[in-house]
Amino acid sequence: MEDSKIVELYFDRNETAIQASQEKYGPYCLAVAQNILADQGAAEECVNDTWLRAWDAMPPHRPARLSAFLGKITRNLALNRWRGRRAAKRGEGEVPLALVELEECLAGGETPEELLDAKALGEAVTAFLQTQPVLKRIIFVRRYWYLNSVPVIARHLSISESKVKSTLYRMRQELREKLEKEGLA
Amino acid sequence: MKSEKLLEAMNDLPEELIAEANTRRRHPLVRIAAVAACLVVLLVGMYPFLQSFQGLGTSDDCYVSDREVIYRQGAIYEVVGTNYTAAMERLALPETITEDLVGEKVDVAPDYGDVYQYAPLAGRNGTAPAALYLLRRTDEGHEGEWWYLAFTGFVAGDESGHVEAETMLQVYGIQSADDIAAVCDRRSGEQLLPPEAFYDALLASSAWGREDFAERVDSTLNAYAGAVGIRLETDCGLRTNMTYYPEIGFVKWFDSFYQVGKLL
Repeated sequence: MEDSKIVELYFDRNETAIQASQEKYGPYCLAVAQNILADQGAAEECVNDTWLRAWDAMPPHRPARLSAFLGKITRNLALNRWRGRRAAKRGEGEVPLALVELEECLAGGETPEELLDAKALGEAVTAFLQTQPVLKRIIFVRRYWYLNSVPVIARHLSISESKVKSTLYRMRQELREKLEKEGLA
Repeated sequence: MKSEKLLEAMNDLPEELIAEANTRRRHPLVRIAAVAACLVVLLVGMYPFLQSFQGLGTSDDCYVSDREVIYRQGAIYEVVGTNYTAAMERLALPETITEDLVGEKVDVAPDYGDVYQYAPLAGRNGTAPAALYLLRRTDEGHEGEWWYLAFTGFVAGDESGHVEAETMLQVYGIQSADDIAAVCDRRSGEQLLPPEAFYDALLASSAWGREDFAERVDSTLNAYAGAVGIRLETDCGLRTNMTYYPEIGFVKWFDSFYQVGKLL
């Protein structure tokens, strides 16, 4: 079913919207959640919660890209659950390693939390990515949005793992410089 | 942890960047065959055309990715099926390829099929590659299907390479401001400025390659702040996206940067 038709089902408050979402984007959202939680049960719960959140959001929100909109909801839910599990010292997934890598983008020493304005950070990262070549952009988004591991990214793009790692390293350094100049790191 | 904020901030990425990274995989054998075909087309057929660009060399963008792409006339084309919802919406392509859209046959895309002119663009782009072609597929599993070939940029040279605005405009069949239907905000669809003003600004601009642009903005604080997504629509229904950086007065169009000054 086309995305526009699925969105219309939400707007018409037709509950087949959820079934249609599950059929078309269930595996995609599950993959997003599994990269974060590495626990099938918890990931499936996040996906189920995604449909409820989508039901609440539409209307009035009309997403430009339904897949990315649903993926964002799932990612947020999974990250929240991951934080909870970390507090209870459970669960793994790619998040801990990604966090360590992203620390490189932020300057050393003590930086007040107040400086890390989420909206400004999001805009800065978006602007940074938009000036990058397509391949680099895809590598970065797959690593830090989809939280794919390096081997998965390499296989997906048919490039070597060393190229993925070196690309990510250089991009983190570039992003760090940009964030420092913008006063965000 | 500070990096958690950065990980969270990634959730604010525009949906098109998220969707772009979630592109289709191609079978490894098809990728190998397509790479070989790309090299043949580039080296044998397009060498004189490529020489017109500065910085001839290799580029990160000259790769066969999961998105199905082919190379023709020194440009990269995305292979788009009418069931590719995201691409169809992004490009505002007609959902059904009818006879009146099919122009003359122009050549053959190895491993894919026969390439035809997109009739509304016929004769409008001179010698430049066209923004849109039609593909009648002959490969297994897709015999007889009609698909689109949508321009997604030129095969870039090195990071200093760029394409003059006039050449880019020609790709879309734009020979004067009259050929532009609208210059809109990509999100709201609201008109941003008159076509004549945008056309004149682009033609008068100087084109920069990525390396030179990066050097230029490195010394500018908040260079990317307030970026505006621009959608240019032509009178024959084509659509192309750009980004305007108001702090530095540049428009990014595929891999080239145009110093246009203050636009909005």
